[in-house]
Amino acid sequence: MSSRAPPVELDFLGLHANAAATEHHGKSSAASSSSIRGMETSAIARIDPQLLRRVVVARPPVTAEEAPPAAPSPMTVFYNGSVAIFDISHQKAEAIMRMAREVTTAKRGDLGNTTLVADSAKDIPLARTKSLHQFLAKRKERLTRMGPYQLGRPGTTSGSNIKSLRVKKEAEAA
Amino acid sequence: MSGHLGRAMSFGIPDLALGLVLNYVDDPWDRDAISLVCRHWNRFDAQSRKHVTIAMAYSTTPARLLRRFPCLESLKLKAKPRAAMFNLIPEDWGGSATPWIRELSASFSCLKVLHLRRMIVSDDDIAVLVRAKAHMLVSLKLDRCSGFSTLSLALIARSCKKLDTLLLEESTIAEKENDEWLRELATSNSVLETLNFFLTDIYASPEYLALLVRNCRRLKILKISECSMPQLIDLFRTTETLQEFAGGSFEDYLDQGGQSGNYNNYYFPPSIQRLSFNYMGTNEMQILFPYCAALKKLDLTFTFLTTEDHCQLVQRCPNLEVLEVRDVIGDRGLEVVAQTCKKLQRLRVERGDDDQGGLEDEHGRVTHVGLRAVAEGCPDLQYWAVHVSDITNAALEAIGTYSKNLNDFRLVLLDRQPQITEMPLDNGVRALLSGCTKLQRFAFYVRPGALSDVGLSYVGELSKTIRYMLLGNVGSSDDGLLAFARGCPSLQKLELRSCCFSERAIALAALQLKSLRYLWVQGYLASPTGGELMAMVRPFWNIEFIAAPSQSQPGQAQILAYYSLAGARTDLPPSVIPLHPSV
Repeated sequence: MSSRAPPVELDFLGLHANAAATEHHGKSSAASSSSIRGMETSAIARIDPQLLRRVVVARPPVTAEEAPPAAPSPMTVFYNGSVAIFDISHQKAEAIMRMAREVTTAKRGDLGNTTLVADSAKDIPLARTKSLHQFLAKRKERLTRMGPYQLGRPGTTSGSNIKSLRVKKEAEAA
Repeated sequence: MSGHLGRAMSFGIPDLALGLVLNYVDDPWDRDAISLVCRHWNRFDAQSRKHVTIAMAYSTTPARLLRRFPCLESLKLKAKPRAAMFNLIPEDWGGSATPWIRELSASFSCLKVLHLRRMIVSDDDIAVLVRAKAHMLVSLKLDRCSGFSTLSLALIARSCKKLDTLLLEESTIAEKENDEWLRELATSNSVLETLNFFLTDIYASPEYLALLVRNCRRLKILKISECSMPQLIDLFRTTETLQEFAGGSFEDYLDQGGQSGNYNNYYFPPSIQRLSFNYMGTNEMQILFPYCAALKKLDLTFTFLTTEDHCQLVQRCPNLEVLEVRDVIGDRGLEVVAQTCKKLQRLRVERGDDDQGGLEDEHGRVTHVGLRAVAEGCPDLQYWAVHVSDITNAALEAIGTYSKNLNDFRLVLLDRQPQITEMPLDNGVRALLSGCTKLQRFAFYVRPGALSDVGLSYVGELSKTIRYMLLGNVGSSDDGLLAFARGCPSLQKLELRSCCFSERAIALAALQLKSLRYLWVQGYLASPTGGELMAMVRPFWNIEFIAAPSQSQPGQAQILAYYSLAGARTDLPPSVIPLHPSV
């Protein structure tokens, strides 16, 4: 028993939380038969990777000199309505956790190819560089300030003060 | 053994001759080939190599660099993925320059030139560097970096008397003590030739800028942040050497309080060849007219000019070699470019305002019409990046036919129009890649349906010399990616965005592309179990999974993979998960 890796209880099936999410995914899991007795067995996937990481790495990141202990320590897994306790090394535990993380952040494969194509194009809009973005914001601001008059043409004075982009940004405190 | 017999020759070539010949060989690919001939030539190359670019800082270690090139004079290092420039990489991803600067400062006795791009550089780092290298540093570029303040700039200014180049473009710099650093630079340095803090937010007063220009009599390039142009009028009269100026800004006409019409006061020295002004409007444009004939570079990206303004301006510039604009230039403006700028080598057409209720000019759209015109009119084009609203195969074919000198071509198809005139663009892309035989960098960012799987296979087949590619929304299935990966023999760096490929296909493609050393992906089909990516696990191949910022946006997760001799990173933040080698 390693005193540095205390046994941790993880709610893999989300029995106590994410009850609504479980319901939804339980319905759409035709192909992957990932639901038994209504419990979503890939709920392991929905574990927040940050939480997992914090749990697994129970102490600050190791330096090169201090390798994690290779000696096995117990890992308790609640899965599919049953409980199992494994004596595995730290590396293996890490690998298992990693797999869980990957699924957590993966898209649901059972939604079908075409839906995801459309989604990915929407999910991932064209990005701009910061400078271009700032410039276009400044341009919009200049235009709306000048009202119906075109840029660069004489218009009635509005009495507004010069605000350079710098000062404006400080004021907005973005 | 040659040492034993006192012989200084290899392959019948005396060392003396070898050394003299190598002095003329600068191209890194040639040097790479030379260094692989035998240990003797490897040592020769190592001792005479002046410059090294490390495209991915985590691919090696400072100690390895020192072992291989102890006499290095110039180093360029890049760390964060290119996507960082588009705000797609988490702030804490990494890219600290500290370990590098520590080693560079401790050894590398010949180092004079340092260029860090997309890295995090702290004030402490700069202090360490300056302490060790101030007496030698000739050029320092902190390009799209962050983590330091103007206090470091003051330190550099005071200490590096031999500095002829200081570049800080688009870096995020904390401001302390206003622009004292600029005064220090102006009073401590007299050999400065390039000062570039363009697209930064740091303040620069007209007084100190004028002081700098007066004291640095060799100043050729001055690119600043924002400073009111009317206050800089006198500055230009005091220099005879200035070739390039960028930045400055024109404020609202309304606030110039009677300065309207005083555009005759502007003067630029005869040496001026390259100009860029922020927020320049239609009325201010005329200050350029007397100088247009001599201009070699014009950057109108951050101006408020209309399509017609662009036409008016460009038609006066027959000697332009570099032109940077937003797509407000429109097809009309590009036609003027094609008719006038016969010497054009670099053209960049950035993406303007996309908003509904169009604040940009109604003619401000670039389509296949403008592309064809430029292809036919500007045969010297080497670099061409363009955002288009519409496109046809014929336009791409025209580029393949006429733009024979292209080595870098990037096309982005905007979402402005619901329907594109002609899709798919398979044939056009095929013609372009067949015709542009010098192409080394290629970006094709379109929409679903614009490039079919067949088209993607053409890309693979015809990209014999392409080393870098960015592909967005291409292909329609894994077959396309796998066909692509069977080709592209020279592809070293691949960026994929918003595509429909599965994890598995991406992993297989990475294994198949024989020259691939760097892969970045955002937007892909994750497998149900999430482990398909492990198919590309192999020695020296670092795989990082950059988690999506929140569970509700799964499409934003990224995969970054690169060859590395440095093993696992030791500075990974929680948002970046190493898949191989594991932590």
